[in-house]
Amino acid sequence: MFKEERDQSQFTWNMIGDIEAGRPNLGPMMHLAVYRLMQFTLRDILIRDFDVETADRIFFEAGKKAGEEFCRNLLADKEDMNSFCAGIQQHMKELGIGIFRVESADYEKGSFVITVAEDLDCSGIPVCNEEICIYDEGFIAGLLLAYTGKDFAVKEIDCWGSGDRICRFTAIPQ
Amino acid sequence: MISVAEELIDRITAAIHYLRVGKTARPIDIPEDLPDNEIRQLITYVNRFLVEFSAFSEALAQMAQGELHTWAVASRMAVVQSLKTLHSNLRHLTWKTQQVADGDLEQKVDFMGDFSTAFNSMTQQLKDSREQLLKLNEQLETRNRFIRETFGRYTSDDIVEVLLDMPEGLKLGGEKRELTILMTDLRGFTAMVERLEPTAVVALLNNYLSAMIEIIQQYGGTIDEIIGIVKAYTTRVGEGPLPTELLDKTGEHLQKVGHEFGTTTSRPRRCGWLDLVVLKHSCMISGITKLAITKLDVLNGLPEINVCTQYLLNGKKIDYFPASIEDVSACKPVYTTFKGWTAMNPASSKFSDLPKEAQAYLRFIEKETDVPITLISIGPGRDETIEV
Repeated sequence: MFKEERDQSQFTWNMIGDIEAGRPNLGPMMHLAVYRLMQFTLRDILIRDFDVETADRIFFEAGKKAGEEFCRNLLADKEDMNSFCAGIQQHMKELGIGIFRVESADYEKGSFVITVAEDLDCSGIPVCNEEICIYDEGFIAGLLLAYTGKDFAVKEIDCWGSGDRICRFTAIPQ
Repeated sequence: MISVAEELIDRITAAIHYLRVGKTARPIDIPEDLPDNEIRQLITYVNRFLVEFSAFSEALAQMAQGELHTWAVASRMAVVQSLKTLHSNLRHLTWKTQQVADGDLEQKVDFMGDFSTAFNSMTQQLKDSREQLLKLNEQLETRNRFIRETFGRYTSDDIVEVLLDMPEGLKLGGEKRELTILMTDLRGFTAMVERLEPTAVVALLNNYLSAMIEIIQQYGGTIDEIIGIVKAYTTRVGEGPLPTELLDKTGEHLQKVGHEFGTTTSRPRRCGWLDLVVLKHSCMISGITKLAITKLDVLNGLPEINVCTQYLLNGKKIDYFPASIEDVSACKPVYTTFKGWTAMNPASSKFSDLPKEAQAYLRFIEKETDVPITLISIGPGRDETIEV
């Protein structure tokens, strides 16, 4: 299930398991530092053993897969783009992922400018003049792909890592 | 010790002063021969600050005017970052407000302090008000529908709409108004009918009634009924087909008792049994809503009374009025026969006073035409009329 060799993704939502049953005392939440510990050490080793480009591609694709599954499992009932955006906002807040906000949306062209404040990946990290939320880029691309059926080019243009105080993403259909 | 030219100190002081008093401070020219020391570094930092502060001021002024489309300040200063966050939040709020303006009241704003509370409270209030309005509108629609249905039985749709718009018009007690009653007559109608085919007469009457209705409605009048007046039997003047014509003693009875002679020419009118095929056709094309049956008393004393319900045309029974005059000429009547009545009380004032046989005859006419009878005349006198 988790360790089979594979050419294509075999991720399924039930791999997340029954957290309530598994953590009756500690519950579903954990300290954000632990998430970052895992992500940044993983990134560290990927870059060491491969390169930055490969590490970014892996993070983007993993985020995209997560976004698609997130949409299918939590946002499938949204009837229009407005309620879809409102649903993302609500779930990202409830799960502590970040404060999702739409800055602008051109429904005809299908392009968006989105911000995520207090982002899971980067808020509060040392300024390093790098946009590092590659997983988030993939996550947003995955959400939009699953909901609209279209591939989006999602690019982070502002990041805490590059000295800003919110993460800003542009999403343009490819 | 580093020695500094007094002029350089003055320029830095002037730049800071300009900023303080709200003037534009231009970057300080660095002399080429200034050594690469802490003073050069200080002026470089001051110049960089002046450039970023200028861009920051311009962005702030644009935001103050509500221009939120672009952001072109490249600076890591905390104050600039705070402004950028404010800019981003304002754009987000603009988008949210647009969604609310488009009717999406499910939108909520998170983590913007008092503004979030106020915005979310506003959308909730709007949502509650809209639901309340929809509920009230539904109740109002139900009441209006009831009023329309109730009053619509007695008056035109236009009048019902006026009553709904001005409910004070519903007050009891009535109102004194001056009224005009217009009685119209078609001059030379009988002579004209003698010359025309029945279909042409119907077309002419329809044109006439359509024009009259238009004028009545144009002047705010209302038409609650169109009453078709028909004899309890059939007569015709002039040549042409008359499928139910009676050329026997019964025909003579109708002619004689009914005084069926032309008013101008004294020519005897051709008489026959009531033709329901023609009557149904007339009710349909004229929009007749009630019938007035005249001369019922003429049928007194006849042992049997026939009424034509269908035609036999080329061996087939039809229950419609043929379009061509040739086909009408070829039609033979198919009758339903009723038992006659011997006498009728001329003082009859209500339907139930009529002989049972006459009642059955009239009910049959109503059933076949699907038009209720409102008046029945049982004699030439004004008071010999029964309202049903």
